[in-house]
Amino acid sequence: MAENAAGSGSSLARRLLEHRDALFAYVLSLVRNWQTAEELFQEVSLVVLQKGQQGEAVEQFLPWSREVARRMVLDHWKKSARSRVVLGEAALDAVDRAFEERDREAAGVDLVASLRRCLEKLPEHLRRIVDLRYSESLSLDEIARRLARTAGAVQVALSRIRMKLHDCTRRAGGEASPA
Amino acid sequence: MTREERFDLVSRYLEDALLPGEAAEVERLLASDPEFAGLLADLSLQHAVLHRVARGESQARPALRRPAWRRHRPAAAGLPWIWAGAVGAAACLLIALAASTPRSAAPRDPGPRPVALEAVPPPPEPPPPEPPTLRPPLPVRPLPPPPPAPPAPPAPVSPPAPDPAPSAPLPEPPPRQTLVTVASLERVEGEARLLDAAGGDKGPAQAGQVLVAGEGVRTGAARSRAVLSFHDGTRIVLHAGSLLRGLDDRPRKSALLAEGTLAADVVPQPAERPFVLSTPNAETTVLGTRFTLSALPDATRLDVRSGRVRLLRSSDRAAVEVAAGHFAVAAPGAILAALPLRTPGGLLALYLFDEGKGQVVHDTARNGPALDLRIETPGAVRWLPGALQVHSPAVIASRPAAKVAEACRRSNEATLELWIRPARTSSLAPPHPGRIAGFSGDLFNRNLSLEQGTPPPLSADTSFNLRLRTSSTNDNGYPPLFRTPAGSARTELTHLVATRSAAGTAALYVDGAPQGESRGFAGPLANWSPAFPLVLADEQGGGRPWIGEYLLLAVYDRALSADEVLQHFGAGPD
Repeated sequence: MAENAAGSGSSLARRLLEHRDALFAYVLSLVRNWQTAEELFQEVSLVVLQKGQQGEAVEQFLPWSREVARRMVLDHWKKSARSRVVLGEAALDAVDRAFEERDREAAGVDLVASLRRCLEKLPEHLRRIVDLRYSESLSLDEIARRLARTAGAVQVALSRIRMKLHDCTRRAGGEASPA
Repeated sequence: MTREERFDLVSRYLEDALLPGEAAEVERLLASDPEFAGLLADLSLQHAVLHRVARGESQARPALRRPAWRRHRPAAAGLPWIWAGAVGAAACLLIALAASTPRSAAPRDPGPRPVALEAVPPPPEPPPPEPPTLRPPLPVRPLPPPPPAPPAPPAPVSPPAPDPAPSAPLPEPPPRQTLVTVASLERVEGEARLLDAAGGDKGPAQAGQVLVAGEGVRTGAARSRAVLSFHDGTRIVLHAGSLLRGLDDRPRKSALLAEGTLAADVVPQPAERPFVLSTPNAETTVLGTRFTLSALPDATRLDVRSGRVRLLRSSDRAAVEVAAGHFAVAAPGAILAALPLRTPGGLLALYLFDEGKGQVVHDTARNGPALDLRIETPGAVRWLPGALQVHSPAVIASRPAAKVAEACRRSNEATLELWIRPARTSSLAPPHPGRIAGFSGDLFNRNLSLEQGTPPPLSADTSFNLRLRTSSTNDNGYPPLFRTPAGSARTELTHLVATRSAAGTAALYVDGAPQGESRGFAGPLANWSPAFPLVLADEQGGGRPWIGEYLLLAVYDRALSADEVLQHFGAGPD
């Protein structure tokens, strides 16, 4: 995705808003925990906006903001002794490249609309799991209790749901994109 | 590895549910397989976006609605996108931008919900308090138009009467009937119904409505509440599941609490005309005080927060004077006596904020070494009678609260109780929740915290949040996100309590009313750190300020029961 240099606070704020999903997903992919990702994303956002207020120019917003986020995640890992998965340099670079690739592919694709349509196609029992996990923010254990299933079964179901939605949105993206 | 296995691995990675040894496998695959890294990018993005998509869908499908107390919990929904509020001018721009995006254009509230009992719209910002003496008289409700007159029966045939002389006096009009209002409904939350003098239903009660002599109010279940205001400033808060009938103020204020609970703040009444508040088996006589009255099936309970109230048992006319900080129960055959309200068992630290000056808030619990609080930023606070007002970001902290951590680790239980008056209904530095009080080391490490305001996208949300570290949460005390419903936080005197029982249940209470329970904080408190101090109004490093007044803070190494919480609410902060 071609990006213009963005230097003013308003321009950076606009970029941040425009790319919030991609940037948040990047943080989430590294720390995995939603709440930790939220905290870190807020810190990243503040840094980005402060740069904008200082009038610093940013040529490539997403790569630059991801670099800011990556440093904050590394800093978080240093402080947090409980992180059970801390990625090494090579894996981090690979994740960066994957997100860069998605930046290019995602141009012009409305993932929110696609996901909404794809959710409609899910069977009701799977939509209920989506609801419990994402709307009510229940943990796997809580969902399992609610549905009288094991946490493992819920995890498997969620994995299948994600695969179905992934395939569906890919198809929708392909249909929506110009040939 | 099959495609399904790859999805399963990434899915469990994102859920933080990898099995031992799989972390290394994930890292190896990420570094060596671009497709696997791409799958992680895809599913992370899907994971992020699904929160707000699913949230919108759940609102549209009543069958999958949340339980009532969770209905307004914003969940971990959506992405943080109004963070710009924290950085001055950029905030305005972001909010403006947000308002113009399709995402923010989507209605947050799907509109009227089908079950009114469960719909608790956030109340509007309360108007600034007015001195009772300046309160304008309540309007007199106009009488409804008279019903249409029935058709006149055919007149009997009779000789025509002579035309009245033009100057003959007109017949005297019937005396005009005037209904004098007794009180008005200041606020209604959840469901409440207006009742006529005969107890008949008059329809939904709404803020601004006036009640005339004899009328009453019935509140619904769950978090329903109605606040009544009298001419002289006397206020009655009618809690959920309550029935108040026969309101009157002539020749003196009176009402019958037929069932349920009310909290009253009665301004001084003339000695010869006390406020008489009855229940089916008792009668209270009030001259000016704050108290809570509960009409139970076979008993009446009175909790007095200030002043004195006389409680008379109807069956034998036995009576007791109940002073501030005491309660009494009128029940057949029971001893009618006033007993102290607050329960001392398990109290680890107690702050009454009545120092009036200086930079130290004293721990008055007298249980082990005093855990005094030090005000590091005296310019940010102001002493008030019985309260400490924090008017700008402040640092107030104790030394490491080892006695609290160790006691709670032993008991596996904890309670944090606060009497506060928030200066704002939402966070001072959105999207970050303001830290009211807690035991924490920094932004990412805590034993227990009570906060106000929620993470985005509902940064304007007005709830209280609990974070509590157990073996099943992270070091920051979550997940789960456990919040009171939106609208819980008001710029009023508020009783806020968080408990965690050894059985693993956490509960939040606002003004004595349970706001829900969470089983998500199961597991022992063995990982509570003795190094964390008690910190008020912010984190130690700053960045999460809370402003408002502190009137009482208590810490227990046990979970107060719901009855005890209600009892403490009745006791008030005095």
